[in-house]
Amino acid sequence: MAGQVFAYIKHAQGVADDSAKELVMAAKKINADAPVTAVVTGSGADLDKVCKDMTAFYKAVWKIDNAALAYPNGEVVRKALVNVLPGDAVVLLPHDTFGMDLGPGLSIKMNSSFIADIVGIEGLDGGALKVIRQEFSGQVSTHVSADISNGAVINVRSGVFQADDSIGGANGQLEDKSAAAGDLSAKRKYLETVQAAVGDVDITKSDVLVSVGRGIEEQDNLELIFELAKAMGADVSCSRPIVDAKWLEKSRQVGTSGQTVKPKVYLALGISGSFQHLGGIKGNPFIVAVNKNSKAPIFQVAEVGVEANIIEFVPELTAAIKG
Amino acid sequence: MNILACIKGVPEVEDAVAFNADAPDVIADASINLRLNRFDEFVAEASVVLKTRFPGTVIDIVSVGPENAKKAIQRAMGMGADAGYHILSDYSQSCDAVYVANCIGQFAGFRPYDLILAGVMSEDMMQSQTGPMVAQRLSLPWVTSVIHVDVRPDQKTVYVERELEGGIREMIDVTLPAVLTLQSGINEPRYPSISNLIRAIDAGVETITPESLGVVEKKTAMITGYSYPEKTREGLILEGTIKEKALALLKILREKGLLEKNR
Repeated sequence: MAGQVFAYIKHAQGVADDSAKELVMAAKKINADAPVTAVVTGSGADLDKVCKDMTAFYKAVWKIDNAALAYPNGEVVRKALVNVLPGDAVVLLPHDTFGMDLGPGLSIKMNSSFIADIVGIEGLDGGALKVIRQEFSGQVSTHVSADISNGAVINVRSGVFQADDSIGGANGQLEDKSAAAGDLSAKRKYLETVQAAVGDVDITKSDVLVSVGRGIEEQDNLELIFELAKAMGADVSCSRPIVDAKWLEKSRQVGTSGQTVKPKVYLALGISGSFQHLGGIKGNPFIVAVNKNSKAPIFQVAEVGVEANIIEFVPELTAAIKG
Repeated sequence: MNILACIKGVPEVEDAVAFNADAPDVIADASINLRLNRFDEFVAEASVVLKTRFPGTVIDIVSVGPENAKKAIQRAMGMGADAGYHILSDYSQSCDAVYVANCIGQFAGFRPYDLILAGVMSEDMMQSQTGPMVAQRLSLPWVTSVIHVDVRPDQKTVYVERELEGGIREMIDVTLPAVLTLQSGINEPRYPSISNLIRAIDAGVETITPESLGVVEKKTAMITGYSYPEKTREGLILEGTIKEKALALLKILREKGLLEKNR
């Protein structure tokens, strides 16, 4: 049998992240009958507000209040969690830059299993939890059976376990665990956060996006994309590798580490469709995928798919539009 | 300064995965061809940049993996590292982050590294575990998703910027020694030079067994099978020549009113 289930609540400016509700849904899939406890770290009035909000969704809410936790520094949060949580805790985290930073080391410190980026939960089988994760650029779903009898840290992919109305009205009990947090000194010192630079085009406002990925092969070929965009009355966006190569500015990058866009039409040209990329596309647009690899995950979410080399296909489409 | 750069040899997806009709299967074995993980090219480059900035710096490359991972180590050495260490395991072990972190932790524990660098993830497993797990094994501070590194050896600190959601940058000071995982785009990886590659092959890569490091495999997670990811949409796949596909797509976009009328 597995230990008590905890969900770590990410929040900022007194507002809980979307993952706060998604983790309740994930926890129910692990064991529908087991109570789930929210763990909220932070400081002051913002923390109190989030804790209060969470009592609507969690039967128990553990508050850890400390000035050192005012900003979620992974090293400090880890110390607090290790000191407060029971040794066999099953801890759910969002699989984002915070969860990826915290989760792996937390599991080692707690001597428990770690499962990264789960996209499905098939249920408990004794002390084993059966989950699904994705490998090989999202082309393969891997079914994993993890021994969680000594506890576990499980990172849950954002947006997969969508919250529904079944989780409200929990009327949870708030417990202040601040005294148990212990020594929170750290070798990692948080200084400040800085917003991303603004570019010349605001792709978050575009209705039609022609988005280019690694399939473009060479920087000179980008001209083909701009010609198509011009013919369509669209703006040009891109996936991360194009920005990494410094071929387009960061402000044109669609994805969790770039911009979140909500166009009506999204033409994904030579983009494989990693979950980080898809995480930046909201509003249920009409997605067209053009890729020479028929296994590319982008085809899993596309309304229309074209298996083709974009360098050949794009000029044909541009010519067709121009008539 | 002493730098340890952790890298992985990864297969091409089409070599590693059999796309069978019912379900895919991972067929990677000892014969599989491996190349340097794309995310680790940034690790090798960052190490070499630091060596240029701080003369006297020594860069060791370490990798856990099967015989063919040696090529990935040599490639990283060809970019300008000094020595290569190959901890021999089979491919599936090299995908078990706890095992890999134990190996690298045991290896690094005996050596005076100031900075341990790893890629943000591997292309095949995409778990983002090894770097932070190595840090915990060695009780070192760590920072993940780093897009800027400024080492200050005189202060025994490193100033880093990590990238958060939406491109927000988080500025951090960390005491050395420390473990950093580098996000893609932090630099522009160079191609290995012929002279460095020849030197890498001459200098050789030292092979180490996990047993000699005292590492015993202890799996807590087992793979029970593979399937294809579920489609969220049953997309229409266009057929025909390139031109026919282009015309068909244009027709659909126009019919659905998704293009402006005059286009």
